[in-house]
Formats: sequence, C-alpha cells, structure tokens
Amino acid sequence: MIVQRDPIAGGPTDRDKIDYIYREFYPLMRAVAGKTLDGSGQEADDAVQDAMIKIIKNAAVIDVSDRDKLRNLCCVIVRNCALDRIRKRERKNVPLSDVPDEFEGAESPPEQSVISGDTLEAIIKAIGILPAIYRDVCMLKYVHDCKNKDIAALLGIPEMTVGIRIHRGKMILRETLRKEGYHE
Amino acid sequence: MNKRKKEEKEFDNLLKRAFEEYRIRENEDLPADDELRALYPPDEEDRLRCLEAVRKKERSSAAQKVLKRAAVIVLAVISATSAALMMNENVRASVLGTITKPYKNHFLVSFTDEGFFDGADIDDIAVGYVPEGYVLLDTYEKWKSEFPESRLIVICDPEKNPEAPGRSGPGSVTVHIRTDVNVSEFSDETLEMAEEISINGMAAVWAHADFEYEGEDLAWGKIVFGNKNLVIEIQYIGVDHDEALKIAEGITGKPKK
Repeated sequence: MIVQRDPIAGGPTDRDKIDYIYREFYPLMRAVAGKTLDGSGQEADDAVQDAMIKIIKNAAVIDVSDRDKLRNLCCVIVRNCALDRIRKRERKNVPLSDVPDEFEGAESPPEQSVISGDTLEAIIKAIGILPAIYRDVCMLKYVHDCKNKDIAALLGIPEMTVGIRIHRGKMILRETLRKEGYHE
Repeated sequence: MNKRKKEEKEFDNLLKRAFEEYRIRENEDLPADDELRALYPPDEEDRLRCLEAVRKKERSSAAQKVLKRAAVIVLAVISATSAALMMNENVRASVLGTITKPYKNHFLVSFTDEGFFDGADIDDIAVGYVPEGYVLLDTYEKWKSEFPESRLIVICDPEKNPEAPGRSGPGSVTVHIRTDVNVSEFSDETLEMAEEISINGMAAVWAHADFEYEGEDLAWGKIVFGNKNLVIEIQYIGVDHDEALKIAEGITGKPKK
C-alpha cells in the first residue's frame, strides 16, 4: 500500500521522503510534465514544482518502501498537475474530458501479452484508452489503495470530484468491454 | 450481499488486477532512469528549496497545533463563562448562528458576454433530448401570463416521481429558462463541487455530486449556461450525470447570425 494514514513510528521523516523522491524521481517527473505539456519547458518546470508542493503537503501519508509504486505515484501526481495547467490554459474552450491523452498511442499494452485470460487483457486494453483524468484516480484507488480523501489531497481536487471520476471511469470501462462483447 | 453489490465487488477485484498489470507495463514502457537523468539532471538548488518547504510545513503544523489547543481552551472558557453569566438559550443560539451563517451565502455565476442565444426569444428555446423512459412537461402555457420572463420545463420519470412537475424529487430534471437575470446563484455548499465546462461551445458551470441514499448512489447536479440575455439553469436529482449533460447539449435556440 502506498498511502498510509499512520506511518510506522521510527520510519523515514518527511524530510527523508522528500529528499529521496526529489533525487530519484525528479528526472522522470520532468519528462512526464514535458510530454504532457507538449515540450513547453517553463510550464513543465512549473508543473513539477506544483507536484512537489502536493507531495510535500501529503508527505506524511506517502509510503516510500515500494520504489516501483512510488515511481507510478509521482507520475500520476505530476501528470495531473500538467493537465491542470492545460485546463487552465484552455478552460473556456476545452471540456476536461477532451484533454488529449499524453501517452496516447504509446500506452496500449501489447496484444500478445496474456495474464489470465481474454477478459483481463481486454480490461487492460480499455484502461489504455481511458482518458487520463479517469485513469489516474482509478490507479490511485485500485493500485495504491487510496481512499477518496487521500486522492483528493494528492491531486488537489474536491473529494466529490474523485468519487464522480471513479464512477465515470468505471462506467466507461464497462461500456468499452460491453462493446467488445466481454462484460455482462 | 445482493446480486448488484456482489457483481460490483467482482468487477472491482478484476479492475484491481488489471490496473496493477497496466501499471507494471507502463513502468516498463517508460525510459530508463539513467536516460532521464542525463536529460533532466536534478537541480541542487531546487532540492534544497523542497527541503526548506518541508521545514516550513513542519513549523507551521506545530504552530497550528498550539493555536488549535489554545482555541479549544479559549472556547471552553468563553462557553463556561457565558453559560454561567447568561444561563439561557442565547449562548446556544449564537453558536448555532455562527455555524449556519456560511450556508446562507451564495456565489454567483455572471453572464456578461454576447453569445449563442443572442436575439433568441424565450419561445425559441427547445429541448431536443429526453432520456428513455422520461417525459417532458412544459409548463410555459400554464404560467405564461404570470411569468412571461421565465419558462419552466420539467423532464421526469413518472414512475420515480409521479408528483412532477409539482414536486422536484429523484427522477426529475428542471430546465429553467430565464430572461429576467444575467446571473445565476449557487449555494456556497456547492462551490467545491463546481467546475467550468463547455456546453455547445458556451461557457458553463456544472456543480455535481453523488450522494448515498438508501444504499444507492443518487446523482445531483446543476448546470448553468447562457449569456446576458438568456440564462438556462438545469437542476437534476436521481438522474445520471451524463444524461443531464446530454439534455443540456440538446437545448437549442436561435444562434447569433
């Protein structure tokens, strides 16, 4: 579990965690922000800064023991900060769900990789085409076991919005699977 | 456990496995750390700024704890003193007054720009989409003489809400078309639920939430859009959010030439 309410006493301090996250994941976060913001350097730096502020605010509930999961968490947070910047930039014209997916094309998992049957593979494929705003909250819920309250704090969005995005994300996944003839 | 909840739990378990697998694959697709480090080396000054921010946060948290503790003590002293001095319900009334006051406030959505509905008459507005199983009740003819500047259309599921349009309850959408105002009022409680969206290219505000009601999720929302001449407010309860958005998108008028 990545996010815990009560970190074990004697574990790393917030300062240790931030130092570790910055040293280990700054290059990755900068790359994700740059890719999301289509190469805009200054804005990407700002998005990383926004993400670090969110991480610092929530350092107490971030578990740094699983490096791979922490890597993913940093990606999710910085991607959302970058999407926020795109949204602010184009607020008047672009509904949030229309924000382009920065990993589009690169994210579809390879078709030949089968984990445990066609259904699971179909869901993984559907996750790949799910808009990032829905995929990220679901990722925090299902992979990191975050509560809605924690997701809201990490992404800087209202708790209600978290609930709605999870609900819609699941709805889109169900619909995609139904169209493919897999679910229900 | 009923069938629906069981299915939901099974789907959640499946999603848990699928998202975990997706994360692993996404991680594998990302460039290697060394490669990224060469492109974007961490900046020492930035790192120190982050650590300074942690220190500031810790100091501020400690100060807040002290202040909170002091506030509790002060409140307890004031309450005890007030109760002792006044010995009546006025103390309780004043405390409740403070708590409820914010809910009496509102935030406004103003419309000042010209736009899509320019020149449109209230008669021109039509609702083009009604969800399956719902009926449209236009009360305009009934109240036209009384409220010529405002029109109320109710879209409801007669099974869920047989008392519509008289009663706004689960399974109903009210479409209020107004020419008497150029602002719309939202309760302060909905501020955190509100987001700016676009309805057919028009700037709109959508406040929405899901509430648990008798074991079921009940969707509530308010969508407002328009311009300085004509404002459309859509409120719904117990109606799917996407359906409500489709209703909003299906509203047509006379576009500006």
